[in-house]
Amino acid sequence: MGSVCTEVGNGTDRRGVGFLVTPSKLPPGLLGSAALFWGVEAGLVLWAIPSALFLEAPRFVSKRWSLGREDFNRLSDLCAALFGVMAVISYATLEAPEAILTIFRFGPLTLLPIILGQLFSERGRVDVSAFFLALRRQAKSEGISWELDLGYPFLASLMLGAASGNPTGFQFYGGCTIIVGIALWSIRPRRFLTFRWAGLWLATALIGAGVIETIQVGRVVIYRKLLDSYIARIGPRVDPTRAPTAIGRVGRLQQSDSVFLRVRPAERGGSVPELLSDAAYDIYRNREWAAGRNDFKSVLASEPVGTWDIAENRDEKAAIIVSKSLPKGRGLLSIPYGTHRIGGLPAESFERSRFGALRVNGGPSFSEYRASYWPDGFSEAGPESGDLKLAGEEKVIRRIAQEWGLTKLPPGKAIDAMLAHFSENFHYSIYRKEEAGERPLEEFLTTRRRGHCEYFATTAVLLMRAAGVPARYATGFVVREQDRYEEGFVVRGRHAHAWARAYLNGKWVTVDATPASWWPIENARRSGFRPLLDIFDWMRYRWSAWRWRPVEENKGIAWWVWVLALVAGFIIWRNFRDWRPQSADDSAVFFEELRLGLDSELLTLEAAFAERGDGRRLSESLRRWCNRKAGAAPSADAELWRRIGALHERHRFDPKGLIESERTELGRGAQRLRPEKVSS
Amino acid sequence: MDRLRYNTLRIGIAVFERLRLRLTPAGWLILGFWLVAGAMGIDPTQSTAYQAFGLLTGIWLVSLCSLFFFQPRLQVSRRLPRFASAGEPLRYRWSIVNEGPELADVILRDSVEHRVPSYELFCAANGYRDESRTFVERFFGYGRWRALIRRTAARTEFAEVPFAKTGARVEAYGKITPACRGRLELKGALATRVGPLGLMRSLVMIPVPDRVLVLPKRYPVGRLDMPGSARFQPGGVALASRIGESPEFAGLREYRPGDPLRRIDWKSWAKEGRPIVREYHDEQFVRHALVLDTFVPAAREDLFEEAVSVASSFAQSLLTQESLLDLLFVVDQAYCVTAGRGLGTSEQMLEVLAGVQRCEDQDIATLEASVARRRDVLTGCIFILTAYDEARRSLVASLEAVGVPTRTFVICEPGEGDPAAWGPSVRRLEMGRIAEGLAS
Repeated sequence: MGSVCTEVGNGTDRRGVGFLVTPSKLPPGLLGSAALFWGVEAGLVLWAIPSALFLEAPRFVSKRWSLGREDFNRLSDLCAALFGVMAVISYATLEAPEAILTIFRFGPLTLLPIILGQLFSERGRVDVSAFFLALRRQAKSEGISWELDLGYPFLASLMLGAASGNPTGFQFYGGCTIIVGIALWSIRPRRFLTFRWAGLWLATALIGAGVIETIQVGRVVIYRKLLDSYIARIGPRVDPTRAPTAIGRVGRLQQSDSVFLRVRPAERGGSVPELLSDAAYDIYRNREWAAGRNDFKSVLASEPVGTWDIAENRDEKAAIIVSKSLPKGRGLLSIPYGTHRIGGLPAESFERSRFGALRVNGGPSFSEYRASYWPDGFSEAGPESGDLKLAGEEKVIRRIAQEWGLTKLPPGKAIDAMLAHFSENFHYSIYRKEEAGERPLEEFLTTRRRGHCEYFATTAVLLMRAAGVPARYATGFVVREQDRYEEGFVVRGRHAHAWARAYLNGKWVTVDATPASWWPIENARRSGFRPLLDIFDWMRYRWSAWRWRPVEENKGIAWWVWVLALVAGFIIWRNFRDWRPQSADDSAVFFEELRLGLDSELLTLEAAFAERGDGRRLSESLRRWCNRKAGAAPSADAELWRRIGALHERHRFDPKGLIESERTELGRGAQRLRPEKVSS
Repeated sequence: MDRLRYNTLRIGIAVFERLRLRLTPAGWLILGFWLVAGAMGIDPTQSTAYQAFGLLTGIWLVSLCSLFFFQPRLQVSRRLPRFASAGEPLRYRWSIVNEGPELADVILRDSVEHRVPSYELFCAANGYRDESRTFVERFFGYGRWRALIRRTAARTEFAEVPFAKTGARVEAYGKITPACRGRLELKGALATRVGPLGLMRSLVMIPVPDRVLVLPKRYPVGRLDMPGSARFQPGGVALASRIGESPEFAGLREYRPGDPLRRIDWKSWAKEGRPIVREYHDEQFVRHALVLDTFVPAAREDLFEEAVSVASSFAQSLLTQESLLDLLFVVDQAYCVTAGRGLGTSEQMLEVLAGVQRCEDQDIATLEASVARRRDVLTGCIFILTAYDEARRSLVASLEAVGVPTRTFVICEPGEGDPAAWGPSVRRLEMGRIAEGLAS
């Protein structure tokens, strides 16, 4: 290996003049290979090829530059500026997970300036103070330094960049194993022979593969459990084709206090409907409600962008703004009955079912959409045969309908009578983890006479059907709680609800059989931490609303991003416009006659201090003595002491010696520091 | 808030130090790589970082298992000098006998007792001794902690053990740089060896207790001209260190009225038939006092340490074969340590100074009384003070009034005190510039 430059400031001389500094301790070709691997995995081959060539060039090219602390500070600032601009642009234009991966993907490019600076520098190391402003100040004042080889950290950044792409396949694992293996082999303890070490590494790779397998299996299990828990928390009402009502299931309904929606009137002073619907179902079977025919039809986009007309020729009578998260940009919208138009929701596709459910795909992860609706209107298709079918516990339903006299009354009165029965003889209760019996509806109607909203909704639908009224089962949310931080209302998981829809007098109407006491009972379960957690919910909402605010198509990247890039570019130009790195003399120099430098004024200065008992100690070099004096000197002189120590050393030992201005500076500095003569 | 800071720093730094012992620089890099890959790989559908995480987890598992394969059987001993000096590296030799399998790539490091700063000291250093470089360090109190640790912690350096076959004896060289004076307790030798993947170190502690007395830091002292000549010392050198008369025998002579009866030599009287007395020589030589001010509050511990260093510097430079030096100080009572002219050496005086503590329950009157008892025999006096208040001025003036020349050195913070009002015999030594002040 060539010469090693030891620490700055400790007075140690450079040895082995005439040899090239080895660029890095990494084995030859490893950085270049890692760069190519990164390019292939991250889809940046066109960037990776020149990068790889530059990274390996120092092994073949003898040209070097004398880069000092200030030079590396500039390069570090350039890397920071590039990284900052890339991070801001990524985060402003992409969703958060993708933005983070993009930052890792392009990260190695932003670090190239400083790693190339190290590889082409004479010293072959970078001072850590280049990366931290506080350390720069300390390094300047105290002259200490801590140098490191950036080769290995840069290799790690290349691996992370490669990991950011191509999620399928195991070629990444193979490449990563080889590259990391070679890097670790180069720093292995010498007592391990290559063959033995390679066997150990193979075992390590196999263990790693086992860990990956365990992660994947465990992830599926955990994800399934989390999904069940998540669905149970917000209520089992997200799938328009299937909505288990939890009757007979164990411990599914755990209402969440988290804010699920925010709703406000579109116009100041407007009103907000009490019910927002997600979906409706018509088939009851095996304790589950399902949609008999899953026929989502596409809705064509309208003008302006993000507008979808669900019904034709409907003037807007009322409108609300609903703020809702849409994981991965898809999901059902919560809308009031009578919705005829959705606005402010740009998406790839928009669909509507015959039950009025609206489903979006390829939309933003968070949306504030406008739902224009006609109060007292409805947007479902008319009743069909399925809306009168009874199933499951048909006998008991018919018997109860008979008992309550529902079959003898006209539809409207039958509904009223049913509601009166529920109100007078039934109670609301929170569902607990208990096994419902084989015949839950019979138990509910005859014995228990208490249950949660799905019992009431299910039995209401079936009783109305028994009375000859077409009915459907609907799910959604109740909007009642005022928002403490914003204008409008908040809707929590706890406000999820189920009710019945009945076709009466030519239109669909809502029939809510759940006793009114359900609202205060559910709200009484609120956690004591809720006010504090609401603040975080609100902050998250505010951030999401700003992050996903609508951007018109033809604008593209926001203007402020361009301004930021221009400012960063200006700063970089100002930092580098007068940068002229000094070329190192790398020609082989053998046995060049060294100048003695014994005329240095520092020798006279030291003699003067020695007379006063404060000269150089026997084991101390003049450079170290100057540093010691600097430590005891006032701050104004401390820098001068270090400077003349460094100048003397170069004058004494550097074959190139000092330039004229430096020689003068040495003499003047020593003169200035001469001790005052004190008369005894 | 300070208690929270203190506990956080104490626990956090203890954990960090343990990790620092265990992990090599490559280990730290792999640790960071592993954590970032783990965070990136939370969703395997987004990236392949989970594969890197799996590989790195495998690496950690193998590294952890390899720790248990290092079970050296070593007999270790040190060859330590008797003394060390604060701030100066102490080099010594390890002697290692390998009783186990072949030994390669092993490093030895001395294990010293870590002195964690007390909570009271941590609070007292607030706004006073703070090496914070950033707002974050200041907020968490890390700058204070570092300043306190730097003053008390000994820095050890590792010693590479040469390759040793079973039964071989090898030597290695160690170095410790103690930060402060006092007794340095060495617990044992920490034998470490890097694992096969180069990420973690196996650690085995070999108990080899030992101790070194660390003498105070000394500064070069310029020429100190102390006016005054040798004074009559009744009883001579011998009496200078003892109580009672024990002069040097000069000869016999006839009794003269007034001679003490105890000096009559009865055998000679019997022989001569007339009273004969024994005659003794009394000596004259230079005797200086070095008075150390130990009345320093706990919060100004560093002032006191500098005072001890200055006293040590003088003790080392003033002691000659021709003079005596009395070191006077008060801890739980007044002490006087005399050295010079064969009574004691400067090393012995420095040993005393290595262990001197602050005085917490006496006042300066005790020191004044001790000085007053000796003023008749003093040639000169050097005061090392940590303040120059009325009591201390009075102490100095009491000697000057009887004609004893004095030199007073007051150690203080930069900008503290008014040297113009102190007089020409009082010199101000600023903290951080003691050497300069003493050299001039």
